Amino acid sequence: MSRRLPVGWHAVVVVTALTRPLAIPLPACAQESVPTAAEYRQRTERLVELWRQAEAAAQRAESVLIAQTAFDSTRVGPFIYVTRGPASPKEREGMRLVQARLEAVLGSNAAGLPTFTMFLERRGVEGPRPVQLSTQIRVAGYLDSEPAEVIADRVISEVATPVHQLVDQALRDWVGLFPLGPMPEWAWQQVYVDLVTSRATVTRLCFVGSIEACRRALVLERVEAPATAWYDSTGRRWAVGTMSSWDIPRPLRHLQTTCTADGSDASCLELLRALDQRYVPRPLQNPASLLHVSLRLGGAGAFERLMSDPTAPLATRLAAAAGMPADSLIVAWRDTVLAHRPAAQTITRRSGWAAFAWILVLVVVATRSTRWRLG
Amino acid sequence: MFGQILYTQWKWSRATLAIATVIVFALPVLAVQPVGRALGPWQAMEILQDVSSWSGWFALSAMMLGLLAATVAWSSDHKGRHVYALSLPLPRWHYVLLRYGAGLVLLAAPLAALWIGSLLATASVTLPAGLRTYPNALALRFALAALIAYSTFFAITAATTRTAGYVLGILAGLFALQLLLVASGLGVNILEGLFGYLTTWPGPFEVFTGRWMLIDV
Repeated sequence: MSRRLPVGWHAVVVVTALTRPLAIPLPACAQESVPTAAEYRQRTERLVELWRQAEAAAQRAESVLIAQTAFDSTRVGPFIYVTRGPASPKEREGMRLVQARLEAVLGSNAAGLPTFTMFLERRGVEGPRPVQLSTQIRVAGYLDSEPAEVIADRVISEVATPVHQLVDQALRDWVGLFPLGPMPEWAWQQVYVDLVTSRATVTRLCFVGSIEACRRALVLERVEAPATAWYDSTGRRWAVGTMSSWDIPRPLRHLQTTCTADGSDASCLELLRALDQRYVPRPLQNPASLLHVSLRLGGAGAFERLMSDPTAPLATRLAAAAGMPADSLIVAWRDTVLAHRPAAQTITRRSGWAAFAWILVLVVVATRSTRWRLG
Repeated sequence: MFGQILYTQWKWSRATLAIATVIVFALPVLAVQPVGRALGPWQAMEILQDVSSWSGWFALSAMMLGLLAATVAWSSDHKGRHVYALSLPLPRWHYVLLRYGAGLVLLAAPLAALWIGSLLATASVTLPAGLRTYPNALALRFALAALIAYSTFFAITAATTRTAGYVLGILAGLFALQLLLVASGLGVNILEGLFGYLTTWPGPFEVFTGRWMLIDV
């Protein structure tokens, strides 16, 4: 039997604590005169101290409440999972999947992850949450109808950012958020569409089969002049058009107009060369797909090999992780992307059958509708 | 009997059907025009955006074609106050099916025109690598959408004027109720929910929604 946590009671404590200094009577002279900076500082320090006391008191109070509630905790790998009552078989399966995915990607490094406390919450079921005051606990919510895989997805997404901090800066800059777990089908399809429709010449050349172009599209090496290395004149105009004028220093803003409105490639080039590389749109939006392929192909120990030499070029590191030459890895990546061509925007079989069924229903309705009458 | 009904329906509708047939034939041809223009070999995204911008026209044409075929099927009966139908030695459902069937046969011409137009249009363009044409899928979707529209309007117009009035009255009532709900600030949107049910699977009008792509990845 679980007790319901009184929502917001701790907020009262905190608000009371915050307003308390205002109720402290000041000396008569202080009431009449404007407080000095030192007095303001003193009051602020007092407020901060009271805030800490209130938070500590609220946490103690909540600990008591949580202790009285039938929470259960299960440790799997680096995570402690908190559930209301004993964890269900589905929740346990979710925990197992999380660990399996982390180990598949991180190998033995999964054991070295920081410990997180994760509250698995069934959405739509009333009950206390052990997270209302303690920000150290993360919440992974799921619906009863959702399978264990969804629970695992939620937990993984909760820990993605802290895990991301474990990898080196060069890899972080390149990959964006470090992938934990498999890439969903829609994301692969998006890479395919990107490959086909990109404005970057290198990406489209990659699609038609140039591995060298793929290497450049994936930005595996630092490029000195991305404006010419990635784009042709049409692509440059598009790239400049996508830029926010806030990112462009005021003296250069006229170049954006002459590039996009007048079509001056010289202006496009001048602007793109003047700006920091990070403002030039990448030829491919999701280079992490290559990392996925690399870790998948590399199997056990792939993450360790990837991290073994953070100073090496990215292509070398990814090839080491995959256990094959860089070009072979890129070929494997391209084949994987091409295998995920999305279905065209046509009707699906079930839509066709539904339409057919509705046609039959409407015909029946027509034959059964109101009788005609004379007059 | 079916031949007679088909013949009369053909006589009433041949001019408008001919115009509709030309329009739907032209639609795919017009949709691929930007592809034939001076687009560079890498401008796949522009091609997709241009082709996608014609989606609404395909959906609207299918709807209008269905409406046209349904109203033509019943216009003479409504004018004659159904005396002809009532004078025939046929049960009502049989007569309705004859009218429906005649309308279906007449719809075949514009549907075939769209299919042929799509095949010709896609055969006439050279696409960048990675893009493909879908003339058959588009024609099938157009046919299903036109048949849904035809069946819907046919069912409404097959009834008496009073019934059609009731249908319109219910729709107007829903709009009025929605306006009241908005004015009262309750934040309830019944029309949005209704629209959602009708246009998402397995709703009858799902086939109209989404992009109608003659060219896609």
